[in-house]
Amino acid sequence: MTASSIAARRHAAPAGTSRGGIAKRRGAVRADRDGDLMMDAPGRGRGKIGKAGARTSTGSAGTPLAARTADSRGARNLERLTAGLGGVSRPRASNSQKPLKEIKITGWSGNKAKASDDGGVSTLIAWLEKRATTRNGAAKKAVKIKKSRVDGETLVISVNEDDVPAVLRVNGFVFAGVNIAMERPRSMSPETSQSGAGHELKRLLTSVIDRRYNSSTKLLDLRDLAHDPEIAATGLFNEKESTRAKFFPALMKVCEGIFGTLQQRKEAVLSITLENNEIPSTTAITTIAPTFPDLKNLDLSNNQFRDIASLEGWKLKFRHLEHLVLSGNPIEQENPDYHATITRWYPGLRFLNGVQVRSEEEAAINIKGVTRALPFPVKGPSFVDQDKVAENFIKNFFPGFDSDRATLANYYYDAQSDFSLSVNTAAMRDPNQQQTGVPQEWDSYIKKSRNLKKVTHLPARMSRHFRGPQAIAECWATLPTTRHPDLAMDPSKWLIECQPIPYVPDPSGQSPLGVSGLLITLHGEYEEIDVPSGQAKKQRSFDRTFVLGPGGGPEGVRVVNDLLTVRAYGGFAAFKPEEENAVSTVAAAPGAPGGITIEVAEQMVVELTKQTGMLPQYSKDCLEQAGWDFNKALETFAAVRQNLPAEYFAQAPVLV
Amino acid sequence: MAVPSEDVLTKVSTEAAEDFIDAYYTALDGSRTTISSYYMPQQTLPDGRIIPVIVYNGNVLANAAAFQQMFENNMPFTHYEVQSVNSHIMNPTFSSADLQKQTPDQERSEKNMSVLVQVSGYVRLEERKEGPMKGFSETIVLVPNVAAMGKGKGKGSEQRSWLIQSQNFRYVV
Repeated sequence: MTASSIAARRHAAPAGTSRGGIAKRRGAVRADRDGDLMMDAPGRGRGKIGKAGARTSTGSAGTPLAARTADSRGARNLERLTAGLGGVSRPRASNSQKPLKEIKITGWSGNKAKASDDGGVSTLIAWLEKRATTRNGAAKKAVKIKKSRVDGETLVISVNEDDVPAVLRVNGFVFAGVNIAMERPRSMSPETSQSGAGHELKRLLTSVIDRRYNSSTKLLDLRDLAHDPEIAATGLFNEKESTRAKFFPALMKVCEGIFGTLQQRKEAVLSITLENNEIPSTTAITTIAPTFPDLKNLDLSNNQFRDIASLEGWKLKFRHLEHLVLSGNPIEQENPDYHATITRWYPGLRFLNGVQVRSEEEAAINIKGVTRALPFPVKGPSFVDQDKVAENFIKNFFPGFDSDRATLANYYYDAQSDFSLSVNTAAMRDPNQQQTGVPQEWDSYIKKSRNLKKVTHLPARMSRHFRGPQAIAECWATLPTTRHPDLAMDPSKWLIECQPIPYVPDPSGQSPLGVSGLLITLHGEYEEIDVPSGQAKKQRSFDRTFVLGPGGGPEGVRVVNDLLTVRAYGGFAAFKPEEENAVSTVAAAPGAPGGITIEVAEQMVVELTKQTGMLPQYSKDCLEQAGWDFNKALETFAAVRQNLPAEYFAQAPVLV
Repeated sequence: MAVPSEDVLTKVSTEAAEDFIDAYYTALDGSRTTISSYYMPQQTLPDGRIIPVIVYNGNVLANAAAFQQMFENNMPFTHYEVQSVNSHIMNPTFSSADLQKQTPDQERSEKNMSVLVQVSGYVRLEERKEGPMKGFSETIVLVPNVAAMGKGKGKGSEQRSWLIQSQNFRYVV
């Protein structure tokens, strides 16, 4: 649960109130002289929902137009240019969809998530997308924030024009303890015609780039921008950081117009130099990254980068960067060890300040590695059973759950056994199936659901928790009849793991500290069955967690806890291990078994590995010692288990 | 020592799960240097097994420090979004010897439990807006942090109320 969702939950009531306010405001859309719709009514601030504490200073955006200095005219022109370029007349047509619109957000900076690295910006953006999506009309099309930048106390986001109303509906909502305030896009002049000033700026910036781009070296030279007479004359690249913050987005728009699609830009521009521009952090120049993500050489020398934090914004950008220059920045004095960090950030980087930091081979391996391999690759199940207790339980449980739940409840559950159910109504669906239009129909579950994210009142939490075989069987009786896939026939549809777990309650009371039990985590699917016809109605995915402990039942086993999460069908592709286990090569090695086939030996190694938790090579050693007698190998293991060093057992994967 | 009523037990066990999950996933996303502070100190049990147990996509991690290191050094951007949480009391009389010795009566009796937590959600990887998404399911067993008892609530690592004793994570979609 993130801080934002707490805020959302805690302030559900104000959210409801504000919707009415926004509905009223939508009436402000009006037509201009030519009959074109203009979304930006004059005096836009006044139409805002008056929420206590919602309004904070919006910086220059709140200044009356007349009071603005001539100096900021350049900035306004730039904005107009940016907006105009984002409009219908924008030259890049191939991969653009809808024009982007900017929305300014203020009042967020005091939020409770600000302790995070970026002051809570990423959390805020994720929160805005989520809130706006749920308010995006009947279609519920996901609202995406395409770009964002921070300008002092203001967060400026860019979204598709179509998404603007949905985002604005979130205006005044509480994010992580503070009311946020939004301002509609400015300068939404009719889009088919660019204002004269905007047109002039586009022409100017085009001329700047034409002059500074070398097509034979594929270098875009953005050195000494403040001393460029053409730029200096306009006052665009002056001392004010807020003005500069607008310069690069506009320049990048022009670049996209000149160089074309992402692929064309990749081919046209290999290198950019930003030398000697007094740049203090990547914030002002951040738009360069999405425009030229495949850059190979980047020169940031002789600027004002002071520390690692000032570069952090580009930590995950430029994944193909080979050469970076940072010399002549204060970071050299303030953090002389920055090389290591920077080298780690860019796995393909070979030269830093002209000094080689990696061989070409190493960089190539890293690049191939980072594009795919994430840590914690999906491996086969980690299943550490004790005397097949978990295996037998699972084999009995699901057929029982499908056919006779009352008997099953009395078989494995006692007066202290707990069961509850949680529905994840928003779970991801099977990426290989198109079924987005199908309603999920949670009616038969939802009144039992104890999802703590939704069920916040204590009495409901208590009443949706079932203890003892009778209460549990009664709850199960209200759930749809199910059919789980056969464990033996359809093993790929299951993912089952098991670990021993200490301090499980001891019903005999002999061990006050508790006894050893088993924690079983299962992921799988089932069909809901229409009983009269026997037809499958609905396919669901589920996650089920059992804690097993010693008990008085027929098998000496009781269910201590049973937690069930039901969710939309998500398929079973995620269960498949990413790479085949190295077991077969180990077992097939020489020294194998006399009298039994390689295949049988392999299966024994796999099984012993499963049951003991040892690494395959030690399982094989153990089997060899036991003369390939499986039960004898298990006995050997049990005898020496406590003396085995940790490296005999599955460990963290070796770091790349 | 009075046995807490059922409503107190439910309140403690559900709020423990919510508060812990809230802080823990935030740390995975943004405060990775604090990750190991969410785990109980390593301990070898009488049967030779070592806790905490950390199993991530079938990878068995040696300890909390190794897990933290993977996140610090190898994990790209993540955003975990929890969509469903549920929790039960696993052991209602989790009376470790330390617990008996050190703590004031009421807190001891109310937190004298281990809590089983089940989470369902998704994680966005690599990139905030366009990165690939994976659905996940996670089961966590929490035990009271004996060292933090009697010291009031706080944010420092030694002050966390609950710590992970066992963890099993899986991508499921």
